[in-house]
Amino acid sequence: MTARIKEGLQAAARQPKLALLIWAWYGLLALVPALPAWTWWNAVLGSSPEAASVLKRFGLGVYLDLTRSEGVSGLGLLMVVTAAVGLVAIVSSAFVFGGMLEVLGNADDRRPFMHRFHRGGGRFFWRFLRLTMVAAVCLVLATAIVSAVMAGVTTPLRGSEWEPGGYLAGFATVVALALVGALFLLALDYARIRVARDDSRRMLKAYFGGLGFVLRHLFATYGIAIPFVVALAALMAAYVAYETNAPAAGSWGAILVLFVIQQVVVLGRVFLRVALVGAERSFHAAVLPSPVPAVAQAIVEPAVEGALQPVGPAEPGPQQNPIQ
Amino acid sequence: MRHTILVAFLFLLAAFTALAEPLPATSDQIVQYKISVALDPAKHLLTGRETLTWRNPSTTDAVSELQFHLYLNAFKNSRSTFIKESGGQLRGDEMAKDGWGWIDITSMTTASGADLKPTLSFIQPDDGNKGDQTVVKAVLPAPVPPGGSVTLDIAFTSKLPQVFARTGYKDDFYLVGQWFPKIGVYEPAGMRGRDTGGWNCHQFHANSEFYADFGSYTVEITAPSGYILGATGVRTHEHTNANGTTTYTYEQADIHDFAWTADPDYVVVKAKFSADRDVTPAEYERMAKLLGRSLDEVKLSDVDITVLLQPAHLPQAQRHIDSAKAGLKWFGLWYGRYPYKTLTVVDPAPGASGAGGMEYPTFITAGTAWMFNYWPFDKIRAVEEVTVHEFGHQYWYGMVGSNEFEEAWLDEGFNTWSTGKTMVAAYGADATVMEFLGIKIGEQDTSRASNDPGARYNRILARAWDYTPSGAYSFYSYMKPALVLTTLEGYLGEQTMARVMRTYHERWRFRHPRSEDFFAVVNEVTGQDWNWYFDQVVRGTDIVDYNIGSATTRPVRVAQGVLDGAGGRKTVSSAEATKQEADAERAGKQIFESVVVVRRSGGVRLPVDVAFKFAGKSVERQAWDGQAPTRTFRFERPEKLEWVEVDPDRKIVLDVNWLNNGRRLTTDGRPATSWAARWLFLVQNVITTLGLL
Repeated sequence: MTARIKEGLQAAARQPKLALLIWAWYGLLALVPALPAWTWWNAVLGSSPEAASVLKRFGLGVYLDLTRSEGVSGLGLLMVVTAAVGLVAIVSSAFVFGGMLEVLGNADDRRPFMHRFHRGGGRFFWRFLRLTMVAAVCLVLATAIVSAVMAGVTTPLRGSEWEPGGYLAGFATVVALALVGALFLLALDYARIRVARDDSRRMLKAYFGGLGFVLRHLFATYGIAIPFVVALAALMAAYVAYETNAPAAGSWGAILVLFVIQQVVVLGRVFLRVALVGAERSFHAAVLPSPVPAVAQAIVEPAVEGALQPVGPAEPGPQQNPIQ
Repeated sequence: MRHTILVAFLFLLAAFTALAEPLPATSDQIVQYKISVALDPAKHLLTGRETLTWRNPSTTDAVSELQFHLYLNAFKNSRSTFIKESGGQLRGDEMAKDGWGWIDITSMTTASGADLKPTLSFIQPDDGNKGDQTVVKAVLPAPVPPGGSVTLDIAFTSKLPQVFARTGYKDDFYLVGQWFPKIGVYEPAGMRGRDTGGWNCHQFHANSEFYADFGSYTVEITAPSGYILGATGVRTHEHTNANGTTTYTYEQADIHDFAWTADPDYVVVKAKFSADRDVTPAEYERMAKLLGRSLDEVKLSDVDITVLLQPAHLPQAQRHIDSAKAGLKWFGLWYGRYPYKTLTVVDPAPGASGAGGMEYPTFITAGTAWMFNYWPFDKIRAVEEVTVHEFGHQYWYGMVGSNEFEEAWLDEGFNTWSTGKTMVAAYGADATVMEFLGIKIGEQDTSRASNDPGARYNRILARAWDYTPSGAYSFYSYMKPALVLTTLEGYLGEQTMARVMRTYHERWRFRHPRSEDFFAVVNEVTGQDWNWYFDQVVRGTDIVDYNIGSATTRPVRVAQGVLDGAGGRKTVSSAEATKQEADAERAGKQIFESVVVVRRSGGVRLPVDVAFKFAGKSVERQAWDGQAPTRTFRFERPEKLEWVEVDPDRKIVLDVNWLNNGRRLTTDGRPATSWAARWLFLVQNVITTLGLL
């Protein structure tokens, strides 16, 4: 597993443009609800001396007054826009993953990075979208079943006089849901990898194939994913620690520093996700070697220029027998 | 002359005495209860016998009938006014299905042996709901003469409900409140503004709490020996019975209710509030100076604190003790020493949150959760807030016995305000409510949070069940009164406000004031008539919102055209005027005209200060009486106006929106950008998570 994780990290590091492109794309999407928010807040906060207090710390009073200044509908609209952008992100993930796998799988391809990314994205978009929908349905069903099972299993704990029992029951349910959720999401990852490798078009079969793969290699697949989740948690914890303890962002310089740190954090989490996919891809290839060359690998490389031999005009062929 | 001086001296002495009234040592003891009660845990049943001596407080009226509260009948069935009003839900708690409770008077006789039971009849003075049995009337064989007394022997059986609305059982946990037949308050003519004498004995409503006369209680409680008990007052006797039960006797004078609790699981934690160790000499001195009193007058007394904790909450024992001490200290310093020897803080069992957050004399229930033992939840100050608040009711409800049915703001509102001040004094202004992962929320933010600009259909001064919708009760009884008092303090200043509150408390300790009595104290201590204020914010429904309508600052244009002046007629062309303006700008000799329109968007009219900041100058202030809808301020000065702000000291916390109180002439993009960066980060994380699933 360590070797796969290392390979994943190396693959992500070899393709820094990949993480940068994904960061930029989702950053661009995030600007859709962020820019109107900034405009709205600047119009209200920018002209109010009261707003200076938020430069020292979060001000609940200022926040509430803000909603009163423009009405709660402003916040509601912002939430609707954010939800819509989230939906776009989910749909676009089908394209992003196609591009990611194409770039990671054809590192030696000399065509431009953007060409390879968009080639993979376009080629697998509809298939990955269907795969995502299959995974979503399975995930919802599995979550419902696990919730019901856990509710039944933890009833004695919840109903006991031992107060921590209720919390323990809740914690156990969350852990169970996280593990099952991870199972279905890992299955989605491995199904995508398989589809990209085999160029298959039967998504239901592919998804359940991915599920079967994860179940057959439960320890290894979780073992690869968990260090990345831990690293992500550490990254977010470090950010929260910074936000909690950093001096108040009162000056433009401090705001800029905060912004840069935030973007480094987001870029870091994108990098970790790319590395995880790289590790998963490496593991999948090791367990299930490709039976046929992948389509992309089948493209014949043009011969190097020096190997071409100049030839003269063709000689006349041998005499052919006349048709009789 | 000597005579004049003597009269003047006596007058001053009388005035001083009026302001510096000594704390009344005792109440006027209208009632005397002696109760014996036994708990049957198997049936959740109380069997009790009560000897009640009631004294007619009137000097003119003979009283021929008595009225009693039977509060537990609020939970008897779905016909009660309480259940109809609450729908079986109160303060986030839901009444358990079939968890009914009730109280029956099984006998009632006078000391002379007259049987009053046949005369008992349920009455519904508030809403005429014949299904409500929370008030019962007894007709006496002979009227009680003015100043006379009557002693009754009452036997009763109480079935406790499953914990709901402050009282009941949960497994083997018991919080026993409103559990015995309790006599109403006979108000003679003149008391609390009454024209004629009569009973004040309201039905039990979903939003209402209580009102009762002061007196003494001696209560014997018998419970299985394995139970740990806590109750109002001082435990004076403890006796183990042959049948496996123990009888505990509690006594307390100068109180108007009695509650108790029993639970075999309690962990008992004891502490002592020390008047010498828990308050520094500097704090005594500061308070004596603030109140204009001697050190002896502000000196507190020692109190035994008992915390009855659930075992899982043991790590929070010190938090309960510290907050109880904070209450004893600050309420004591501000309003007068706590007159009782004990304070019991109860931590209800898990699943019995309906019993939490309640006050009874010398006995309060708090309530917490296991998760608050640990980081990062250990700085959420719910335990502290609720303990201080319920303790505060010892002063506003316990000692100053206002009528919670009719004027809930006098206890809940005063106590919310006092709780806020105590929390600020004990934990700092920024984080009285919580510190959670770097986010700090203070008392003022949460009070202002509920001050909705649309909240203009109720008034503070209303009966608890008259608010529409009924949920408005909490804002108009708790939060808005706290904002009213904070705003009043803003006008009066800390010292005068402290003296107002001290005088009000002292004058009405162990008595039953009404709102007008508080208003009178404010007028007396300040020497001014503040009814204009109370008429608007306590009796009125409207809101406060001052804001800046517009603010401009621009160079004064040079006059052009045909101008008549001392030097004769002169024509100034537009080109010449433009040139003069340009020359003035280059020379730095421009004059700027600044025009500010301040608006009053709310209906409440309060005087306000308006602050103006001109470039390179210190802040200037002008007063505005706030009566007209708008006021325009004009200035012609060599400096540009930088910003303007109405109510710059934020005295008027009743204002529904402070963001519109000020206007910068050049915008500052930092606050919006700082927030937008965080918003962008949040959205980016959400989108990246969704996009990389």
